[in-house]
Amino acid sequence: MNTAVSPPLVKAWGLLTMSVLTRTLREGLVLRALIWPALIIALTLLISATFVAGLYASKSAAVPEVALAEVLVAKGLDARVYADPEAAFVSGEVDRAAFEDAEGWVLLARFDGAYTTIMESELRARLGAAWRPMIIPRAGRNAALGPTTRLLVGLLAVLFVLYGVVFGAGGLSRDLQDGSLDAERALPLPSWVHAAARLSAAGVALSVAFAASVGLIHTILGVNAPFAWCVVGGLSGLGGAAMGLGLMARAGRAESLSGPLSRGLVAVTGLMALGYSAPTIGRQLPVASVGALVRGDLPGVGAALTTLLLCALAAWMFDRSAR
Amino acid sequence: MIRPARVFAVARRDLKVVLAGKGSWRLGLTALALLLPAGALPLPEFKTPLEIAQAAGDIPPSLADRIQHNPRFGLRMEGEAPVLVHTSRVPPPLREVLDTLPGEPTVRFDLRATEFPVPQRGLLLALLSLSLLTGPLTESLAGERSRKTLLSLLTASISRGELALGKWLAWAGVSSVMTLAVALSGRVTGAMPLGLWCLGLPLASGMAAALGLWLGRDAEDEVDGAARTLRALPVIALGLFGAAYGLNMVSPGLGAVVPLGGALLLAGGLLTGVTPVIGAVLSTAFGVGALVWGVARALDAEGDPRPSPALSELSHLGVGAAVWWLPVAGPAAWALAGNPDLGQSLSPAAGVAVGGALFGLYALVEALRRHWSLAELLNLPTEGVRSLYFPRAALVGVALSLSAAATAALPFPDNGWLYAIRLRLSAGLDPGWAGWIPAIVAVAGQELMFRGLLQRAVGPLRAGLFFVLVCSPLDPLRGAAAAAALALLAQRGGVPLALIARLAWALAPESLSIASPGGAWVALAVAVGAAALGAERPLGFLGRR
Repeated sequence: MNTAVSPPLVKAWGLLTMSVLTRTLREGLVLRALIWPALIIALTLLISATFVAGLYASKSAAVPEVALAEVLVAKGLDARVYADPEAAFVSGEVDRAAFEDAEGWVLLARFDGAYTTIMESELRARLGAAWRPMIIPRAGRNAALGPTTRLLVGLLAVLFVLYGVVFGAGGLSRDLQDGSLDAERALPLPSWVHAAARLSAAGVALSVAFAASVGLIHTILGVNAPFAWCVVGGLSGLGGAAMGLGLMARAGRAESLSGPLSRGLVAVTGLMALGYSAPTIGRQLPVASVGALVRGDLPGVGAALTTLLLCALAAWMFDRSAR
Repeated sequence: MIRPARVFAVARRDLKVVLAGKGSWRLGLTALALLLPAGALPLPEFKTPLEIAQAAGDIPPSLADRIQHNPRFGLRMEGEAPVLVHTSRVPPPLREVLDTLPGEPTVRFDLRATEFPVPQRGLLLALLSLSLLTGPLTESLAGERSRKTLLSLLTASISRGELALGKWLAWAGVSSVMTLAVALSGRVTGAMPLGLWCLGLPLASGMAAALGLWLGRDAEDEVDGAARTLRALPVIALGLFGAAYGLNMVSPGLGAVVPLGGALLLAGGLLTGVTPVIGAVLSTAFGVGALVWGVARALDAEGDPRPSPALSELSHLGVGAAVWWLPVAGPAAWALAGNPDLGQSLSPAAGVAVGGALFGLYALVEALRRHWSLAELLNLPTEGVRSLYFPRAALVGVALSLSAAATAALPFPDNGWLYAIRLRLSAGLDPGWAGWIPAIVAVAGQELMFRGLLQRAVGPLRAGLFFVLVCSPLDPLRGAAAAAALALLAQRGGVPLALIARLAWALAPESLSIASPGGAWVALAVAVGAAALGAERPLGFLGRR
């Protein structure tokens, strides 16, 4: 394997990367696969929020006393004084009503949410009740969101790693079948340049698309350590592509795409499980670092080094298969 | 004219081809693995966390035996007189216990919420049967096209309608038989009683088979066909179910008129009475007829057609709106949904930067797909940019920065959710409030998208219209004036000139703004006029070779 890297080789590598990248992006199927996941997550979150807003955002309330109305208005409710709050509620004019009947105070509500709780809290406070609900505004971000967003972005990262395996194995399989790899190999270039170009194209496409996805989710939901996610997602996508390419190169024309693909997917699942169950080891490995980061362990330098090693191994397998 | 014998012949042939070899085993085993647990196994009973009286924090000793202590639960109790319950919603079981405290209940809480009927398991069965059809449907039509056997079928003595109907009959029939068999087995195990809902299963299968064939009607091969069906079928099914459910809430039975949605409502046991059931049957029949007719018409197509130019332009508009509105205006939705803390914890500046970056990325990818050079994406004129335009672009930018008050006198409901969204979307024209770096990223992305990609792809008029719709939908007059000035600049010197104007506009100090709307409109007119003026001596290095 000729591993000497000269400026013309680097230029050829760059041009081939551009060519593979353009070919990949010209396929609508691939482009949609890269764009849709984040867009669907973002849209689903916002549609859910809008739906909840439609259900619970009403602030209207009817009360019998001016003093109570003033307290509730100060708390953000649209409270008004009615001679018969119950009638205002029943007629649909308001969504909450507080009034006193023969047995005591009654709170009627059409929605069980924050504004209803605020109203109940104020009412109970005025009456000196034995218990009352309270909503204390948070000073910062809800810490409980951390694990949820890590899991969400982690699942997205898993998808991109799987894309990596499919890009690596599927791209090579298609190029073997349609003869474009043979045409490429006729160029006076060492064999590893073709592998490197494929890996760098897959790495660029997956890293950029994943970073854009993380950015989108970060602006809508907030993601802890978004830059670490971008690094881990990019490296793991590249790692997945290296696995796919190496396994497909090893199989060559003797096997169809399904064999190397399934082996690659099994390897990805195994590495993910390793990263999740043993994060201190996983954070130093490609793909496994996704599992580790879902647990909250930031990636180590080892993850970048081992990804490069994996790429070198894939390029070596590709080179061997060319002989 | 449809001849039933030929329709059955096509159906038989399709089943033989797709189910040959291991095909029948694969389909049978998948059906068994997916449908049987959903339909025939009894469900274990479990309680959701809100159905148990539990809390974190300090539970009063008098209630300790009736409230479970769960330190990870999101509801916390503290104090004794009074007992404070930190939550935005008190679960009914906990309320029941709290109301036993001495002196309680002080307030009787009466929740009269709208009842949302929960669908029965039949809906799950119907939805699962849709996913089961993806593989066979793809192989049926897209597979025939890729294997070139469709051509020989088209030359046979059968009509296009008979061919499409035969393929539909094959898979609607198989799916119906399988789901009904599972429903029967559910009756045997006691998991699901038989009823009118069973009629929803073949209706949903029939409509899904038609929809699947229609989605893959012009797919080039199995991968293309499967990708379309996998992506679109669940979304369409859930969308139609949502529409039908919503209509049913407005008026019981009305949801039956939604094709597929009505069938799914019926399968979920949400339609009662004969009239809604007839409605569901008719709407499904109408839907199946229309889709099968569409498939028959598309059978002569030579693989995947290019999307129409109008559709392609609309897709630019859709993507543009999504990549800008979601990160910039999206977080406002949390406050509306009753969670203002989350909205406030998110940085609007990051939204502006991400929106701009996504614009730029979209423009770059589209340019790569179209094999454009960088000069083409930047929309540079062939003869180069005239030097006099650089200071003129800066002048246009400064004039635009004076225009903030231009539409201040126009009526706008400045309260509630629209106001919150308007504030955020103002970054489309005035991103300066987000800070230097996000503003620069945002204007660079916008200019690449609207004055680079779109102005070259769809022309300045439509690119300007898209800019107004995406970046200033709630301030359209000012947006239109700005779009006109920037489009004129881009006609003379491409994206670089428009970018200079936008940077001067975004980064000009706020103190420059004219307070009166009249003066601001004069400033906008000056900007458009300055952009429209001509000049001498092009700079060759900024030209397109």
